[in-house]
Amino acid sequence: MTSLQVWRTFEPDSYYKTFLEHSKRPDGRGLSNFRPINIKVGTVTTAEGSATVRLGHTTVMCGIKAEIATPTLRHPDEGFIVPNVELYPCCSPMFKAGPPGEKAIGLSQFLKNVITSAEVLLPSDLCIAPNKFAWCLYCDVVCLNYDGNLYDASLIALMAALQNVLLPEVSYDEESEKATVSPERTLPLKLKRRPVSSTFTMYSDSIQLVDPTAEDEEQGSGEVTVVLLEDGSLCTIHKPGGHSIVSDFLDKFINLARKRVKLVNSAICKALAERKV
Amino acid sequence: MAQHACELSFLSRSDGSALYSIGLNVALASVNGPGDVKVSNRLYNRSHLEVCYSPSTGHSMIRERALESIIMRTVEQAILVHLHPRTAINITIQEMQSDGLALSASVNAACMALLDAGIQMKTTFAAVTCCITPAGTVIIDPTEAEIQESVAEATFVFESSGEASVLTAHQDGRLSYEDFKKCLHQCQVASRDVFAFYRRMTEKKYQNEAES
Repeated sequence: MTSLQVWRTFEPDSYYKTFLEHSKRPDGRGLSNFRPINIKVGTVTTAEGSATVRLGHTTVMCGIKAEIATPTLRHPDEGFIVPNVELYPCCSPMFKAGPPGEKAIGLSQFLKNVITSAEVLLPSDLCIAPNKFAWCLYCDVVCLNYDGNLYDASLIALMAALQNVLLPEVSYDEESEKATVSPERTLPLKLKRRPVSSTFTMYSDSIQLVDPTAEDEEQGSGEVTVVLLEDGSLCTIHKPGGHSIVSDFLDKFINLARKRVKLVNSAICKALAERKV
Repeated sequence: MAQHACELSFLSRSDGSALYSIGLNVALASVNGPGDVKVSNRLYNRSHLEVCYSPSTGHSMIRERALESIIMRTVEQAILVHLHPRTAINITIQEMQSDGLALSASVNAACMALLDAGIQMKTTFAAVTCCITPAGTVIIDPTEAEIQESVAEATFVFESSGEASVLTAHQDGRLSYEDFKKCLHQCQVASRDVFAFYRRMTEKKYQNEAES
């Protein structure tokens, strides 16, 4: 063990603090630098749409399976989008086997909130025949390797996978009340908006870190996630407790996040184009 | 703003409790602790915090688990957890009646119950919910019907100390940046009334205790 490793093991707080005093992080990034994003779409061939996203060491996979279901009585002309996040113990010792933990539930709710708030796609577009048939999209997000910032990684994976979805055409015959699926003709989803999230960790009153790693999250106290749309409007802001911030800092976060929207969306477009070639 | 009302020490057996209502939203919070902790939850440097939220109808599902997590992360920042290592503090919230403001009613109920239990906190906190109509008007403490009609709804939890910084933020629906600022500002102003209300309630409680 080198003396640096000894320092890190025995005094993790002072080790980390020394980096911040020099406006650096242990992985070499500055405080407001994002990690490189690596996106591949169509990684699960058995799913209707899928994507694998790497954000530094954080690896997240999203697969979308489509099933035909019956619409609810309350909304007879609407389909369903069901995001679900699974965090297995293999991605980090933080997570335990068994029923989904607090983090997984929080993340699933967050994704659901973003889809409905941003109106990513209209539930009515998923309807095949009112009261009879509608598509139900099960969006399963699995974390393969956890190194912080699951919010951003899973939203990028979900959005890339949604843009990769090809649904078979379904024709509905009113007389026999039967639906016929033609798997050879497929159609992409009509996405209306493409939200992008940016997460910040609060370390102290004056120090905030963008795109936190697992170490940053452990050392910091709480995260803020800002989700923006392409036109710059605020889709949602998610801050479940944690270190309090004054509203000036929120402005700073939103400005930093604005720059990221184009960057992420063009990375997704590039990945989709690569797939088509 | 809707009418706020609160009754402290509503339950006789818990260490602290509060029945809090904002308009037609009523939440009952009970606090027990610092007390015994399960071995698996025993932390050597701080007290373990547990929040349990039960809805007025039906079973606790994903929505309730998400609410629990938000409330827990908020309360965690306010309580001085390091003062009681190897103990647990339990907060149980029962939704009695809901008209769209379940989150703010339960956060405020939790704060009052913690004050009632005498748990050391570095600050009190207050939640304010607002919604914005398609015409751009901000409504503080909206009703369920007003939320359904609105374009977006946001809940903020503020600290009482310092410059009323934001502890928790939660938003449903799209907002332009300017509208967001407007909502945040109006909620911040409204939170001062809530803190003034907290003060009146606690003053009343200690006055009664001094007299009896």
